[in-house]
Amino acid sequence: MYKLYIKQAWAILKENRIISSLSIAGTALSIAAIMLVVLVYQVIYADYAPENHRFRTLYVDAFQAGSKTEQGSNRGQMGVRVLRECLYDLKIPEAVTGISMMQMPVNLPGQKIVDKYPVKYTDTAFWKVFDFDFISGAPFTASDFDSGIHRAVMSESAARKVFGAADVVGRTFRINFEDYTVCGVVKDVSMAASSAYAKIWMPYTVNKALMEANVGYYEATTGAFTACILARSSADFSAIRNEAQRALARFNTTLKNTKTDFLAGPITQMDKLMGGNGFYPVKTAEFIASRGGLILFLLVLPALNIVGITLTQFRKRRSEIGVRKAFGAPFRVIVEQVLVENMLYSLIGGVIGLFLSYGLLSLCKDLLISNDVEFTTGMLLKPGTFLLAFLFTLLMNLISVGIPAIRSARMPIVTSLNDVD
Amino acid sequence: MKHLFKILWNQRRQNGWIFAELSLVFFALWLICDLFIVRIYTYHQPLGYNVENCWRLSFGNYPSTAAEYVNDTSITKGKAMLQIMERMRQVPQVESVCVAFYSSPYSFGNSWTSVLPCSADSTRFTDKNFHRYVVSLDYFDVFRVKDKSGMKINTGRNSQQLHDGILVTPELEREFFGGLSAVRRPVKLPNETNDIKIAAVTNSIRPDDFKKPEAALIQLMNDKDIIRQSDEYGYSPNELEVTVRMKSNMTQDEMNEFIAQGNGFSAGNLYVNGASSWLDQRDNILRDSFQRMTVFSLIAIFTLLNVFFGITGTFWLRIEQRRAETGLRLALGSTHRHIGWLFTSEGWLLLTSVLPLALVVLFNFCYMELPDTNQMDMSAWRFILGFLITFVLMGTMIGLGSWIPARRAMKLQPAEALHYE
Repeated sequence: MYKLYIKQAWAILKENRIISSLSIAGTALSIAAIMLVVLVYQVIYADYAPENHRFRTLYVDAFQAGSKTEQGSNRGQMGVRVLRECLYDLKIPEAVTGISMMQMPVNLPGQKIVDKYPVKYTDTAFWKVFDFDFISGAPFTASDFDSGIHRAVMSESAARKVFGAADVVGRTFRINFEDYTVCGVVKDVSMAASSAYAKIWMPYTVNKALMEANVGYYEATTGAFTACILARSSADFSAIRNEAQRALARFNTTLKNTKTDFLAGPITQMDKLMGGNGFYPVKTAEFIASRGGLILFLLVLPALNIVGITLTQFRKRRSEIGVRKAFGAPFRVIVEQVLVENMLYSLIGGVIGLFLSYGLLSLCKDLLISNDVEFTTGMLLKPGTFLLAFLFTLLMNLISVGIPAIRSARMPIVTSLNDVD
Repeated sequence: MKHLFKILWNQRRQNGWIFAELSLVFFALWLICDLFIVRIYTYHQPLGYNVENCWRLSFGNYPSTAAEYVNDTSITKGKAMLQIMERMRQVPQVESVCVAFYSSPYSFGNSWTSVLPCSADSTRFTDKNFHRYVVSLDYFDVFRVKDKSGMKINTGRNSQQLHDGILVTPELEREFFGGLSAVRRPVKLPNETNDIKIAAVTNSIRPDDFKKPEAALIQLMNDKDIIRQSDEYGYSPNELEVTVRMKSNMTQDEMNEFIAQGNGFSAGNLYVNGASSWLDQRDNILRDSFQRMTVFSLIAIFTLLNVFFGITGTFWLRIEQRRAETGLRLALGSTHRHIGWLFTSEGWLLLTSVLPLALVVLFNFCYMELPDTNQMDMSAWRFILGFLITFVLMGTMIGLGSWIPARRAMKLQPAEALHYE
């Protein structure tokens, strides 16, 4: 039965070229626009190497230290104290890592160059939370970290820029007149993986400024660190949040005149997607309303066009439907026929739209995301993307042909046979 | 014309769809046009400062292991920084050097304070906070900030006057004193026992390219103040924004070479290890605004394309339906071109019929103060310009959309058309 519908649809398509192309173009435009929105979010927020577990990670990006007695507070990031005395001791998570990022000038011994590279100062748990692809060598070890040994992991492109080659394990570079040895080289990380992104990674124990405790300022609780907490499963999120808040409360009792707070954190990747940063609670309803409204607009406007066209088309086929009903075709079958026929157009439109959305994404990359972000196939091609595109195509099909289909199937046989306009 | 109205009215049921679509599109497009009018207008207003050729310096400290390390505790961080700044001023390629405390244009941070005029109605301002700039005197040379009459700040004023008092922007002058001059009037700052006199009024300053001029005050730091910030309060030279204005245009690489030349710029154990352009920082700060504009342009293009497809589709079908009528017209002496224009005019008339509804809806919209009036008041010309641009855009799309069907109508032969009937 379906083969017949498809054959019929194909014949109609060839007969009314302009109108069918307009239907297909309308669907393609809608799917292209919707998938562009989906892709932009996907590129920024979906799982891809090295951040493969974003949806079971909690992010502690916000920190506030205030006086227990007076007004005034400092909002920013946490100091090493908070990492060591609160977060590292959490039992429920799989791993907790503290991260600080700075731009540092890197050169070879004897060179005088001030090129700056993004350097991440972190700990050994970092390599557990993120899945880096090591081309050669290995990450710095726990003993390197504990003793503040000057060993660093470098990205492939940074290695080429600094040393002129990628096989540089064991070689030395300098930051601020101090030597560091390369212990591992990794595949480049896209800037879109913002938690893991850097060009050089080192144990933070080598950075005296980071480790310095400014006891006079809020008892050394503030600093330059954020943290990522890898949970065993996302079901643990509320348990981990509670544990973290309890740990912080305990920590606060040890402080003389300072109280610290994670504010709206630790936050999930979904919170980040909705614009949360840990300092203020996420406005979920507002987000859903605005993005949902946009998607609705992108679906409904072309659908309106197609409905208009379809209604007119149906007036022409009224007698055909009348005959089928006279011969006993039930309501369901008539509607089904219309839906399946239109599905052909929707599918063609959907496929074209999907290709267009990828094209638009690369064209507008600089304007919508950033020119510095490199796209990887892991970012762009996910089974979920195709599924979503198909679902929206289906939705488009239903919206644009649903009403005309039901109306024509409902029409009394006599009226349709007489083909009264 | 009357004839067209009659045709439109007769087909009002069919035209209902298009009318609804055009109304929705008109509303959406007006909102987008309004956003662009505000943004583009604001962008082109004078900023009040200039950041071209301005580079922010970053500093490092020689570690004790370096050959350059100096064991002299008399040169504090603050003193070393000032010495380096003085040395840079002597270099021929440098025009001027200044330091600002989170007060450079496009800076990430800012500081706010309450300030009260010493006048009868000062209670109006007790709960208000104003943006406070804390800068060294060369700030005005480096960033080309002039006084209200367009002259350099130190014309006719000695630096002592400026250091003892504060400067205000014309917007603050207007808020405090109405149309009167603010110069030599006293104001009260918190934590200051004595009143401070306003020494000068600067030109209007806009926080960034998309905001309107702000009411702000500027306090000057002399060398003693600078040393206090760094040595007593513990702010590192990297937190104090030291900016150098170069005489000529330089690329990042050229600037890196300049910094690294010879012995570099150093004093005590402090040395300059890099420079970043304030234009890059400007890109960071403005990125979100540009992205929003991109998204809205894409939505506008999407909407206009839909109008195009919708009009083409509807008119194409209509011409098919009205083939008999067209044949009759041709037989009775109408020209082919006239037929074509008939359809296009029908489209434009439809658009015009949307105008009254749009006018009423949007007028109420503006009355309820829903569009953004933060950066620009809703004036008559802003409202009308939005209308005009939207009308022209949609009219163009309708013209284009009816062109293909109109051409088809024009090609019709009367005998053929009448035959179909």
